[in-house]
Amino acid sequence: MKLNHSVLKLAALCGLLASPVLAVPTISRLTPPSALFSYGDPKPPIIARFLPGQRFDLQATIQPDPGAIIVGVRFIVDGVSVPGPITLVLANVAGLPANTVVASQRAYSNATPGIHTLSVTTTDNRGVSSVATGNFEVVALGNATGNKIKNIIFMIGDGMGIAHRTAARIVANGVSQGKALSPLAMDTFPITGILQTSSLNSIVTDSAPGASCYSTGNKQNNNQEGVFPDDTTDAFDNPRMEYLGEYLARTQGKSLGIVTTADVFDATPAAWAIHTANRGAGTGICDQFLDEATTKANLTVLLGGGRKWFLPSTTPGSARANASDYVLPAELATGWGVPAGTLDPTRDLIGGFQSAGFTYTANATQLRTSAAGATKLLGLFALSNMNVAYDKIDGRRGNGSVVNDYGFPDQPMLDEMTDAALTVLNKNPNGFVVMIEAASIDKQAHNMDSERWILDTLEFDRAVARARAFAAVNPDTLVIVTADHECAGVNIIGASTVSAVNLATRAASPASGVAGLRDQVVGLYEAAGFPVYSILADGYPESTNPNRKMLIGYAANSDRYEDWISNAQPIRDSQQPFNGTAPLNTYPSDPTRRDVTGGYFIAGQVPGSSAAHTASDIPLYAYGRGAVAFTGSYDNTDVFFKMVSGVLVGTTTTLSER
Amino acid sequence: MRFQLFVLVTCSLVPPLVPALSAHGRHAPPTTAEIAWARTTARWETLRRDARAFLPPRPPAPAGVTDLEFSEFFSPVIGDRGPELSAKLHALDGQRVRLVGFMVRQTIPTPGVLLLAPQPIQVDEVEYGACDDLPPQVVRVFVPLPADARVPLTAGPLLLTGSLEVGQQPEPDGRNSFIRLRLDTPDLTPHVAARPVASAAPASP
Repeated sequence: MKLNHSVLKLAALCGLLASPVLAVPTISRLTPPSALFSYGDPKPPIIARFLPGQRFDLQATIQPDPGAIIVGVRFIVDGVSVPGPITLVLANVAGLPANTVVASQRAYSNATPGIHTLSVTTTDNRGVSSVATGNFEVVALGNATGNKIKNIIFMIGDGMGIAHRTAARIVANGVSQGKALSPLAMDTFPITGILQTSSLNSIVTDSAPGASCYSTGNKQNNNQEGVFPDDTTDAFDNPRMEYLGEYLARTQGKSLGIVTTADVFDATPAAWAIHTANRGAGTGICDQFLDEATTKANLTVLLGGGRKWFLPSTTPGSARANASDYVLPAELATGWGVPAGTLDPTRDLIGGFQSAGFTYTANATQLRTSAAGATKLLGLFALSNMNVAYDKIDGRRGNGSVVNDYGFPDQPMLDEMTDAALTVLNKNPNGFVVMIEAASIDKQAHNMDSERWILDTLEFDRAVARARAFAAVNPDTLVIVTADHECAGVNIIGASTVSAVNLATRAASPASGVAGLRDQVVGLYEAAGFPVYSILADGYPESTNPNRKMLIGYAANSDRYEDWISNAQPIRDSQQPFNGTAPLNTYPSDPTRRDVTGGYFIAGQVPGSSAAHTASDIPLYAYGRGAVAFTGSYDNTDVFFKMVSGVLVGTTTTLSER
Repeated sequence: MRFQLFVLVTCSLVPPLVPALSAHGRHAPPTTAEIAWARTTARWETLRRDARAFLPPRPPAPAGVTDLEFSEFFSPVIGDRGPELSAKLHALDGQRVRLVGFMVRQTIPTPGVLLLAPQPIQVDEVEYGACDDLPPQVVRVFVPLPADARVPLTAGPLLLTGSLEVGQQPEPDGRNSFIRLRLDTPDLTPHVAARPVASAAPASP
């Protein structure tokens, strides 16, 4: 793309360009974002794309000449002024001149497929005008004639790249004489795609735009979900775009479900229903699940951790606070037809959900009995992120030290949450969209805790099997299994050449170091052989420390010590309210505080205390109605349009879908 | 991606705690210089994250004083809603107890009050208000000082003895307190290991 800035400045009316004083207003941002506006490049790829009728905001940031005031703004699409109110507010991010304004026109939509020109004209109090031009596309949904998709089960293994999947398969099923002894559930999906994951402002995405690309069809900035960037500091006033769940609830009467092993305020779950530029604004995010999503997106199931946001601040353990809450500008609330919200730290959000007809469930035992009779279901199984599969399974096998330390010994597994969600959602005859996330594949990959993310991948695959079983008896269902990005540069580097006892001895000896824990242990190529893990009836390994165990390396690693042995305790989770108190404060604080005794230090390639996301392409697997559309290599935002095409128009059936 | 919390200060490795905060009126906002200073070491938690692991044993408790640990504040298993104050805590309501903790570093401290946490923590009320980075076990400690005098910011572990109060109560700074301690004296006793006493005898030739 050319870098000649294309903001089209026109001195209106009478040769004002010649005046050194009466400079024209500068339009420094035009939303939706476009290469035409930023670089003067009209060619594809078109950055912002929408469904016919999908709502989104028009916005421009305008810097007037010093001393001047912006008095008029119009948005023009394809040469025609867009009717409706435009609101001006002062921009307040650092670095912009005084009197810079942000002009917004809310909830615009366009039903005509094709590339559209968007212009903004602005006039100051001296009569001096400017024009800037960008574009956006309304995507043609095709003319497929096959049956339509009724239900979408969208499964995200957060941070799950190719190698996470391979490692899980090796542990769960084994490899012998070069062949996997049996596939993972996700391996059985007939269609595979490869996705490119960059966000609007980086080649490396975080989980917010990494998920909201699927739920909006658009790129967004890191840390932002359901919105485009703007020039105000308010995290909840950004220009919005309509979510998949909102669109399908409004046009098709479908329900939305959100299921996660994370705190429900976390980026991936929030990126299916919440519009904010701050993925950390937990009070506001969880309030909007009730205030907006239950009505605008027909949110019917919300399962995960995060009870700390739902407890009134008058309750110990509550994290509710004004600083992370939301109040919408009146013009935004009016434009989108949503409540403006209030700062209400003492709100009882669980009670609010119950008043809205939700059945509340607080543990696995309650979950097993509540789904059948519930029409709406709220499950909050931890104060913040739920424990990972490694520790939950330990608890179910009688060693509940970690889940007991967290205070939640009876947390459900993701497959149980999946079954409950599908039971409730399937009661809507119009169908549903549900996002099901295995969040700690990512979180434990950040921690470079290999066995914990491997078991979370196994937990995820067991949930995938439940979704596949649902689709098998509900053939109008599409199941997508993918990730939002790769995390940690994970790969399988080989296997240990020594027994478990030998490895433990080395890990306990300060003299081991690089020679004792790397050179004499890491078996490459044929020295790796085929590690064998014994799987118990619960579906998880009897031990994650077998003889000659599989070894994992990290390309996006931070500093760490490594002894290859499974860690009895996870790294401290800074989001847990009791993180600072015994027993949780006895857990290692970061990967340089565990495995230290063996003396094998690995210098990180990234700063900080955790491994980082990478820009690697990620795999996608599709099963069920419309699956064939998902083959190939493409951008992550394409997934949104492929799904909705199958829902609104129909599917292609030139290949077996199952 | 993990959500970063800006908590966890440190104890003995901190730089000198200057300037000392001067006394202000109850509603006087902190000065720009004070705010800037309070934020300068926002990441100093990276120096030492396991402060509590290095605490020395407590000296014997005086008669009539019960030693209490932060980990004893709540029932270990969390029920259907939130954590519940433990039976032991309720039993000690109104009794004299002793705690070891760390004074929370605040940008807007309340005169006569310190917040005692199980670990070194820094909060920035100017930026985030009464936000959520304080753990549920934080104890609101009332220090008998002259009116409107701030408690001197004190680094390192403190051994505090006073009268315990238990129960939810809204506070003037907008926070809710659940556990309070009223000190008898304004002295903030450091809880550090005693240094070995050097021998007065001259070294042998």
